[in-house]
Amino acid sequence: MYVYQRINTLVAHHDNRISLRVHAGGIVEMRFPPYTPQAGVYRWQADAGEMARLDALFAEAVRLEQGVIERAQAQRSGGDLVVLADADVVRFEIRAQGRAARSLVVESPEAWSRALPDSTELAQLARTESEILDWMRARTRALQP
Amino acid sequence: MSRASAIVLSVLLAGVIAPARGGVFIFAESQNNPQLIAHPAGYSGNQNNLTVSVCIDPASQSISDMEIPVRNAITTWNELSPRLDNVRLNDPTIPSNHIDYESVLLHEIGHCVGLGHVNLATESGVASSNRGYAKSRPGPNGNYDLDDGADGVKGSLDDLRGDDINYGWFRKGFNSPFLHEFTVDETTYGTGLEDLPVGHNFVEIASLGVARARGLADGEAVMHQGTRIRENQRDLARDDATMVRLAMAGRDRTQETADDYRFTLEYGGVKTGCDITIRTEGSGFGVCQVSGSFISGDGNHIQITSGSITMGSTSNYNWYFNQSVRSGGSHSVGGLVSGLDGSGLVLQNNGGDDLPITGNGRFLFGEKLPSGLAFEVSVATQPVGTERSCSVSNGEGTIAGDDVGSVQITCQESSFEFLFRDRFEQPH
Repeated sequence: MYVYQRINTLVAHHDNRISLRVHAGGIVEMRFPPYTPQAGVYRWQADAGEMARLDALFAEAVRLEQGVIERAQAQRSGGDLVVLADADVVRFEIRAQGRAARSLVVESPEAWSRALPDSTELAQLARTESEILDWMRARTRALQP
Repeated sequence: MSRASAIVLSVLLAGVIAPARGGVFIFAESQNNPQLIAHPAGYSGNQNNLTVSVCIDPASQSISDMEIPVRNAITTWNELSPRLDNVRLNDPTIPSNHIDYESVLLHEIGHCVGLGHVNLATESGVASSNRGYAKSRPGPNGNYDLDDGADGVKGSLDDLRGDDINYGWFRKGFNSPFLHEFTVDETTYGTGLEDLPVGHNFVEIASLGVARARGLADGEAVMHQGTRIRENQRDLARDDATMVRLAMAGRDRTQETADDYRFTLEYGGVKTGCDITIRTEGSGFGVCQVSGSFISGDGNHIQITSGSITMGSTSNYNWYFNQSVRSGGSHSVGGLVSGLDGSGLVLQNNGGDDLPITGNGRFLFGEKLPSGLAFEVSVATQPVGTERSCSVSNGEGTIAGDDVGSVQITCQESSFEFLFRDRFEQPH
């Protein structure tokens, strides 16, 4: 099973998670919080082609070791100090037998990729997440009345 | 949550969440220095007036919708005119399931002028249920100690925080984030817990929960992380304005000296190359990237070099773009208190804007007023622990295009008491 979450950290007191769960057999569950145009819970049966692509995207994401941002910061030479305030938290997880077998939790890859443009790891992670989100929104559009 | 479970959670999260960033002054936490103060772009330690340009990125989406909220947020920070009741929940002008763009932008611009989160925000890695505690870093035991004390209110003065290191600046001897004092500098504010009043355990923060526990109107620091659906928070709280004024005391951290400064945010239109750039695009909710560097030879002061705010696109989030131009006040009302020797004196202007007075000296009401509006200063609560009562002179008038600083509050024993004492205490 795959789990993806983007937590909108600046939002409090409400459900603030965009999430995707991909179950065995290709059953997909997507949730969008109430303050998004896609608000709601959606279910989708992924076909073999979609599953193959999801397999690849999650494998790509979790192949990175934890600390990708810190590594990118350490590789910078000189320059100003940089902080990112209110970055969303993003989680990728591959589960086996109900437990997280591999996971990666990272602050907004796209925002950190802008802040640290020399990091190929962050740029790739941002592209991977963007493709997952685009896929979710496309399926959601197909399911919305 | 028990302390034990908080520790377990902190340990679990410590391995997966990026290191803590932010602080009451931004960069303080990442630099492990509670004393660090961040200043707006361009401040190098010897200017008195700064202009900080704020622009909308030409590549942004929703440019026409953004312009008024951007201009309003700029005006709000320039006014530095805080309100006690700056939170309006379930604002009927904001559609259901929408979030107010201007309120969120006000918070993000706060980061860009040097402020961090007052609460234990997401950068701390604690569970969302614990983000109401005051900003800190773990002490020698390596964990956050989180116990909300007898009142059950997180972020309040009786929190039991073990050896956590405080990052929040507070009024020495008073520990109230709802004060708005005339003198805001290192003589009156600090981060050392030894300056807390007797009986206080930790620094109190301006959160909605604490305001309600104190019996105050709905108010919360704009720099408290955590926005709500249909929440209108387009005004600053006193704590926000106080922290900006603390920075404006300059590198010597002493108000009314040569290195004091003021800054003005200036809307530069739709273009690149400004000190602060705002865009609406992408999948993130709202994020602020702040760059900065130490002011030469000073490890306790940072100048911000650039700020970049990105708000999520309207295809991903239901933003409400307020289209009412802000028409706030611009003139302060204040004066001088003399003869006070008790505690608990509270002044009001026009029947509101409660201002607790902690001692003799200059005072300043939080809300500013536009020209042409009347002001009327009154004593809402007389001091206790003293035989003196306080009265107002020069307390009424009309704002005539300038700040009012001539209100006199004089505290003295009543003439009856003088007479009484004279009769019974005079030697025979």
